[in-house]
Amino acid sequence: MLGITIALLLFVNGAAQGAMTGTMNGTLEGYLLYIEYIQENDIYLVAVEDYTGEFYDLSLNPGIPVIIDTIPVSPADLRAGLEVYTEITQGQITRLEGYSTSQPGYVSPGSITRQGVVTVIDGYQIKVRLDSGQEETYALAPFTLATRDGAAVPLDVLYAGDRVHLYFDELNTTLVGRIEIQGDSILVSNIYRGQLEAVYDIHSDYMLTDVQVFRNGSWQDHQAMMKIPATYGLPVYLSGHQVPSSYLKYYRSKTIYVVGKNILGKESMDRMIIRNQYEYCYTGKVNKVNWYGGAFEMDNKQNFAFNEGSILIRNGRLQDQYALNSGSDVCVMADGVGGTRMANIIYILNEELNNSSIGQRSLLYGQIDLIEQDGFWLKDFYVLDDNEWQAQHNDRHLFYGSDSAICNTDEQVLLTPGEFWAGDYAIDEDSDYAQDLDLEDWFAYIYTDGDHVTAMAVREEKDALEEQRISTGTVQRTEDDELVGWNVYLCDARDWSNYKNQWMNKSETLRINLEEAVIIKNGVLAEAECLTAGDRLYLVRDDFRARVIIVK
Amino acid sequence: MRRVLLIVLLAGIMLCPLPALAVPPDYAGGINNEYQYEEIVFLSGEPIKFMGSCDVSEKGNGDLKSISYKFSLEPEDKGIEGKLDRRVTYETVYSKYAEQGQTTGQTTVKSCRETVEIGDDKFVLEDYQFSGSDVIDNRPASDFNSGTLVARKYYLINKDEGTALLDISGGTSGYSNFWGRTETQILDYTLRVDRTVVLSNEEGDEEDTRKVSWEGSARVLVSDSTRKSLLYSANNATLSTIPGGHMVVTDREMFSRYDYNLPRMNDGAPSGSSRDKGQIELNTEMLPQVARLIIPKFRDIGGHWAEEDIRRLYSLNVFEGDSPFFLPDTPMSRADFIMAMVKSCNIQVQAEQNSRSRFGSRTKTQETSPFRDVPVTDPRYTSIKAAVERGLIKGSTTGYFMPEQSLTRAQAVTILIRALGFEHNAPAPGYSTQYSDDASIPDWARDSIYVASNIGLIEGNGNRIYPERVMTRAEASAMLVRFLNFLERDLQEDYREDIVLYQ
Repeated sequence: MLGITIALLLFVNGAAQGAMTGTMNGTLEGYLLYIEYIQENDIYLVAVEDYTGEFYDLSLNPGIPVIIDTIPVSPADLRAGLEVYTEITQGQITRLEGYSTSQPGYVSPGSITRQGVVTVIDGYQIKVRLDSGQEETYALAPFTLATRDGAAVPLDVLYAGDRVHLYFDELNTTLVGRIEIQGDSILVSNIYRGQLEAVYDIHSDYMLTDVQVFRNGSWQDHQAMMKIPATYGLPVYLSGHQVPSSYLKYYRSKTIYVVGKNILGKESMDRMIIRNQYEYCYTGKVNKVNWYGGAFEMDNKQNFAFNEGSILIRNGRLQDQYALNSGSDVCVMADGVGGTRMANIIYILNEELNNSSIGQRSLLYGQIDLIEQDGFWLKDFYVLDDNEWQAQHNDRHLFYGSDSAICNTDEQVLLTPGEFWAGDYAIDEDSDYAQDLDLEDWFAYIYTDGDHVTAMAVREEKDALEEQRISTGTVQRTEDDELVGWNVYLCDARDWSNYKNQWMNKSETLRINLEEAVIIKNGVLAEAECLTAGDRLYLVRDDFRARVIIVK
Repeated sequence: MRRVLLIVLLAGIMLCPLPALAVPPDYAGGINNEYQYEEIVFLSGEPIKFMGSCDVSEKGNGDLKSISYKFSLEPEDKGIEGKLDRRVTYETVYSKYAEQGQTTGQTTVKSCRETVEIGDDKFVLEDYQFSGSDVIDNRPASDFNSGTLVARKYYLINKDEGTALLDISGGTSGYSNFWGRTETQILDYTLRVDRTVVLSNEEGDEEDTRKVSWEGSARVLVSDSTRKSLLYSANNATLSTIPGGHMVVTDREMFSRYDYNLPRMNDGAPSGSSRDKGQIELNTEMLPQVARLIIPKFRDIGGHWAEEDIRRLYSLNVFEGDSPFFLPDTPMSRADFIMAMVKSCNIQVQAEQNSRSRFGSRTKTQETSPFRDVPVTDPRYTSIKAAVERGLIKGSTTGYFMPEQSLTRAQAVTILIRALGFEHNAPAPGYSTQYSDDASIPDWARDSIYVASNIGLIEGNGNRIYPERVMTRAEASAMLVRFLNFLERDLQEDYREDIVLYQ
């Protein structure tokens, strides 16, 4: 042993000379100076300099626990210069800890992820039902990067019901650094009704006959026979009870309801309900919801039970039951006999300008008063509130910039901020100049984000707002008509009724002209050709002609 | 020996291997099934779907592999006259880094010939430059790969009427394990065409030639995915010894999505500044392959909460033995769990066992066990040795494996995470997990427990993880089935759905 120690000391750098530690007990902290494995003795020789500058020669048995920053390592992983803590008995190390990590607990930004479905959006706080089934609350910030279909989007495009991928930049934080929002594959493509003809277990495919699709508020013939695959883990319910997929073959010839989604280039079945008794279909407003009893009452005093198997659709997305509120306009497809009815499908018709409480978007209409270099005043203006134009008896100061889209819809040209400022869109109507040229202030539809103008359409003539309708619908197709320009055909359309204070289903496909419309998609101005089948629109229209279209 | 042969036979019969290829054919965004290949061609300035045949052949092994494609396609729209012939061979040279357990591959194009005819135009490939590189991380339970590629195709149009330059750049992500394999490519195309076109007057007579130039782009997302899943099939007859059983179903599906941005074309020339933007999706599936599995006949698992999981594992031969009792609520031993893991990951041990028996001790040096309590004659030795070699378990400093000792949750989770090679995904040391009993997590298991929790492989029980609690055979079975689901389903979702649906 003495010989080995002498040999070690010859190797130790400079004049360092180790204290003889053959009987040393206790602990030692300092720097590792040297470590060498002596094969014939199956032992490591270790030299340590403590923080006061004393040198110690110690031995380390290969079986002794050695760790660096809580990670067990081999003695061969130790290097001279490492700060160490040792426990020593009779000159032998019984425990050795090294410290190397400069940032304990560091995670690379975005390396912690969670995935789930947004259930509640409360300002910049969201609740997400994770794939594990737990519901967690996370915080978004104005700097949180949001992407949808791989492109950056504003956070206010987020809906309850959206499936998201959250990325965190730090350990144990609830602040989301980046959020990926699933694209259009989240949307319900169709709701089908048909008879279950066959179940192909191996493919997870289902054959349906006498298939009808729910379109424009009623069931319409679709196909005599249709084969549709199921998504992984397809939930199937009958009267509120989940049916194991292996039992489905026993339900052949039963009527089923199917929710379809376009996933990976094909329409797949995302939810299925087997009808048990007779179908009842109602459209109206929900009067009361009894969460404890699992039932709701419509304004016509009809009562419906609901359960975890009930399919609830809002904003084109499947939602959990809590999306149902008193005051919701719904179309209910129920299953039952007599007065006992179970809601199989609850289709919520409500649509708002803002997708959630994150959004501060508003739609204004008024007369432009005074234009400044980066802002203007709007007088006698109206704001679209709860789908109705509400007169505001004051002026409002709005701001525009190079990213504001300003469109002169009379001449079908886009204006630069400079052209808008220099133009005769706002004028002193009492001035000689204005009276000589018969000029008046122009009118504008303005889509804002807070006080900032995102897009506006200026027109010389005033529109009669009381003749306008607020509508929603899903794009079926678009066409570029030689005579009237771009048109869009909307299915599942509905108009807002000021009198009934309710969304009213239209039974026919709606054809709308886009030539004088300002179209907003993903928060920015878009062209008519950017509308694609499946886009859900919220629009202000003057009969056939759309004025403002917002792609939801 | 008979028993070993039986295992090999069973494994071979029950678990049919995955197809050799699970990568999308070529780098054109095309997809194929047994009968037909289809892709979108943008050379004319309009997206045209071509369909036809695709022959694929692979050669080589080890460090050098080549793959050849032969396409013979025609437009799907019979109103368009056209034809596409392409023959291309790619060669990949692999370099293995045994210490790191990684492999890199350099791919170049060895030969290529391509002609595309659309209407009166003929595009002939004059030059094809290609550089692709992949890194493959070979982990015990799964290989993970990531690649980058750049390519350029240079076409002559009608010999002397102009050129088309197609730049391709992008990357690939994939994994491959016994339970499935997926590769997803994201490719960005930019196309520049400079050519002369003949303009016609209103009567349709040729009037003048004009030089036109235009640019287009497309983002192509293509995925090829193969997955094995376990399905249950009930027996319709009741007077049978077979109440029903599991089968392995192997599915293969390809998906492709093209997001393009092209000029609006009129008579071969761009018409104004408006653009034609759109999306085309393609999808195809191959016929699933099925393989029935043996039927467990335990007497003591009926009604047990883990019955289904135990049946699945036994059907897959992950658990073996002929006892009528599984004893689900007794502790799982360390050796039994390791053997089950080795089989779950399909780590090859039988071949070694055979070669050891065939050649005997005369041709090999005397083998020594890494553990004093697991002699080489122990029937579990080869599995335990394979687990040590693959890094599932580490050689003990004391030299003992303690095969009969009960398995703890911390040990089980550590083995699963080591099998995936995910232990390095933990934060830098010096952190705590979310569990209230974090202090009782052994240092060596903290990273694994953190990662397993983060990827959803384990869940706490009332915010506690109970790392030192002994696992019963039933609990270990449930954990193994969750692990197999991760290999089979979670990885596929991550490499396909999560890329396709969010990008």
